[in-house]
Amino acid sequence: MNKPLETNLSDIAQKVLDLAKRGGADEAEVFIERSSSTTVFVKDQAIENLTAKDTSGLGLRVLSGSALGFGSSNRFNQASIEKLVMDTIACARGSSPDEFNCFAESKAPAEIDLQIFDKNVQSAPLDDKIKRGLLLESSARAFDRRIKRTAYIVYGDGVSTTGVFNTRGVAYQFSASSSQGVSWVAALDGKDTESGLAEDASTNYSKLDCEAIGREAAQKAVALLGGEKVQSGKMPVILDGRTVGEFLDFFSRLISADSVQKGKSMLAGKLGQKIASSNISIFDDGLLIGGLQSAPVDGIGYPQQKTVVIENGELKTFVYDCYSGKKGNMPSTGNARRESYRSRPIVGTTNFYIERGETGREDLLAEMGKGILITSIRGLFAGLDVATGDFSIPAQGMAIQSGKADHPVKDFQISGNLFKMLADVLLVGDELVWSNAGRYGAPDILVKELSIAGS
Amino acid sequence: MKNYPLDPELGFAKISKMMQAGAEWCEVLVEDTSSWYLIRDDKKTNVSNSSSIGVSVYAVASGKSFHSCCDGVESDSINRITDAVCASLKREGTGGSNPHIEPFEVTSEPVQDMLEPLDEVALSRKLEVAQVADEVARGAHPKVSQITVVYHDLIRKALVLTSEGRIAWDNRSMLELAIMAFLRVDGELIASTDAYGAFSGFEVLKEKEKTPEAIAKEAVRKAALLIDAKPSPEGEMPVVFAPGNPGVLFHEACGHSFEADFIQKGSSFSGKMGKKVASELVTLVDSGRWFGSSGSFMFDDQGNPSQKTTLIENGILTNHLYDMRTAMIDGVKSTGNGRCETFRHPPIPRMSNTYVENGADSPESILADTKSGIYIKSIARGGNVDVLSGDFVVGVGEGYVIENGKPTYALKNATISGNGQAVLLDIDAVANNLEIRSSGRCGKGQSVPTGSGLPTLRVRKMIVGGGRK
Repeated sequence: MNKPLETNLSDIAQKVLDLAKRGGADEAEVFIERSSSTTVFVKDQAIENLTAKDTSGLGLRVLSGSALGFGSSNRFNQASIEKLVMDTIACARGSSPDEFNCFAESKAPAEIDLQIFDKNVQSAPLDDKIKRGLLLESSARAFDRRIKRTAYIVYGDGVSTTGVFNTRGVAYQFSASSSQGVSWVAALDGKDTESGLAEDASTNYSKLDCEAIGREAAQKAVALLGGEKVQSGKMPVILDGRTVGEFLDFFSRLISADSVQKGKSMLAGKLGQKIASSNISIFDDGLLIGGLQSAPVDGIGYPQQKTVVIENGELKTFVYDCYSGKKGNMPSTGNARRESYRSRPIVGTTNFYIERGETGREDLLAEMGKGILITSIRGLFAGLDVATGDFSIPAQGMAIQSGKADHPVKDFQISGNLFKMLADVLLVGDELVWSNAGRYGAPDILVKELSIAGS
Repeated sequence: MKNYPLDPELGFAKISKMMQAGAEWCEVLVEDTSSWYLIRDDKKTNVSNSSSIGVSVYAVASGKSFHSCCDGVESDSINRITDAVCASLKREGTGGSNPHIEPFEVTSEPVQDMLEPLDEVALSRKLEVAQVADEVARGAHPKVSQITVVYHDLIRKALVLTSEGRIAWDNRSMLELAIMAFLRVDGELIASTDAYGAFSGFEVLKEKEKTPEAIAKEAVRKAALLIDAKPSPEGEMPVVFAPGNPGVLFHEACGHSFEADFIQKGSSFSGKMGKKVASELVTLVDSGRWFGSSGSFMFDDQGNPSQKTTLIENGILTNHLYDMRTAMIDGVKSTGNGRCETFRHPPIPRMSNTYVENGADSPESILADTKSGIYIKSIARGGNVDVLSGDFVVGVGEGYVIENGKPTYALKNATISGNGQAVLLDIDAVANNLEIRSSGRCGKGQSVPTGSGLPTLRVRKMIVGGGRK
């Protein structure tokens, strides 16, 4: 709708903070978000749905003594704000006292141009955005005429301005943009139906290549046609970057200091220990240039940073927000994460990735010799035990013979344990693949062996 | 006239504008929600309260849909979003009409009680629910090391105005309770969850199986069962499903593939209307009218009363799940399955409560008749389906190995997978003990509450995984 975002959020925030203090809160914090987005769903080279919207709202946290209350509202008029303040103070009075509850102290963020806002995302004409949606589908169909169905083709972008303010002097405001495409298509050859999914995202409008996304989805689907069964047994596997990214999603939850402190993560007590192969290093980089999850400050206004989580296989640290930091007597690592103004901040990762290695895909295949290249897994969370890391999930990929792709394989499950797998990584690929709207980045990994349950 | 959050006359003026701009059908939805969210974690409760009100405008023309929304109900904002949709409609150049709209209030039988309205219950009573659940869970087993309780309630009032002149007013009240239990046994962590969602007032917490005490004990019981659980045998084998929660299987294995948007794109069940797609023992239904289930609703988010839709009758595919857009493409009536997560999302075809109707067998005889295989009492950790191929996977929560017709030891971390089309054809026994469970939420880009269920039934063969070590 191209309505310019109002950029000054501090007046509203100050008003809310004052009201909260006057209403009896000991401390208060306001998180305000205004965003504008466009989404284009495509089917058969036509728009299926076009949604253009602006949204805005604020989340308020107050401390009453050491008890914390949270409230949110999407209206900024006087009556709504007054009600929000009253309700949130009532929430705090119902909450348990907790000496570790705290808001961020004012601390200047790093002075880096993060390159997370591209005004072209907002100013690009709607026609151009629709074309991008169409391209996600047409490029897949053009890649191979066996691409006959498309399940989910969507282009989306948005710009947002976020502000965090508290009664300890925190007052930050920044803008960010994102542009992303997803192409999920199926190849049919009369006998088989196989699907391929590809996605990419960028903070920069011109850096997103929708044609490449469609092509990648098509290429993945076509490659799986004519899949054969596999013999059961233990064998070496290469997991492609996108598959490794799915495991990272799960792993990122285990390094939350909050989960560790509450005894919900199996990594409790493992600090300083070697939990992965020496060629694995994992970073959480909240200041990655152009990163989709980059920001000067986190969801409560504490500076984001780059944190080494695993260095050469050794678990160096967990990630902290101010609460878990205070509890664990550690500084925050700037990992208070909010899904939106409607959600309470929780500990979460930013741009979370495995550092790439030096081995190209072909050399990885040659090194493995005989085994399976896994290019798709299904329903990891259904098949992964949160408490132990044991997993068993359906997978698809290519059988590798003499270091070369031989034929596609399907109808089998891979099983193992996440930590055993991390310890068994023999080589790390040289290309980082970002998935899940830029939250997880991973290269290919060659794993010594996993259990394959086929026929 | 009810106390609507928006004057219907104003809404119909926008509808006329969209029709003139080329809409073939359109709606204005006003949504007013308020919710309480209590999380008790590590013996400390944190309380949140949220409220929101907003307007969505949505129009269909030549099979395409256009959507916009705004926060609040200010007329400036509503004008702006209507203009945005009208601009899109004009770009499409489908013409436009000037229909005379005669507003009328549509009615629908209630699908829930609200004896104790959630907004009239004092916060102290909600705090008590979280505390009681926590204490009961901690006392239920000596190895409990951590408990997390989530209490969530939501009141959602929605006014839908449509270009047929419909005025639909729905007042939904939903309560969700979830308890996650962590046990520490010989240094190893074990976790399990029990949860439900109900379309009800606060009184649901008094129902025998839905009290905080019952859910707490069940969460701990399921976790404790895993202490001595063993890895599952692997490979293809018969699987017997207990009634209730395992209905999630059908939600994943075929439910999504029956949603009309997927059918029109070419799901694994496209082009099979009137054909045999399942064993003749299977009648599969989607009903938005299951009383008290959180998957139910009086009206969908397009003002159509919810209904019972038979998807498969005695093995024959008989219908799909439609919203307005997909129904117009196929030239049929909407089945009342146009649902959106909030006014910020466009309505799309979604399941409500999806279940298999009763058969003739007795549950005991089905088990006794199964020499070896797996018995699944609950599905956990969700599932996933590829609607294009029909391949799916679900995680097993409580499951047992069947030996000589009897469930024996419990399974740890098993999964079952297969292809939806094959599984439907492989059902060879259906019992007469149907149960529905409001199983939680379904994600399809947007999250909505759904229910699912089945009577005890058997699938001749499915792929069981999880036999590690």
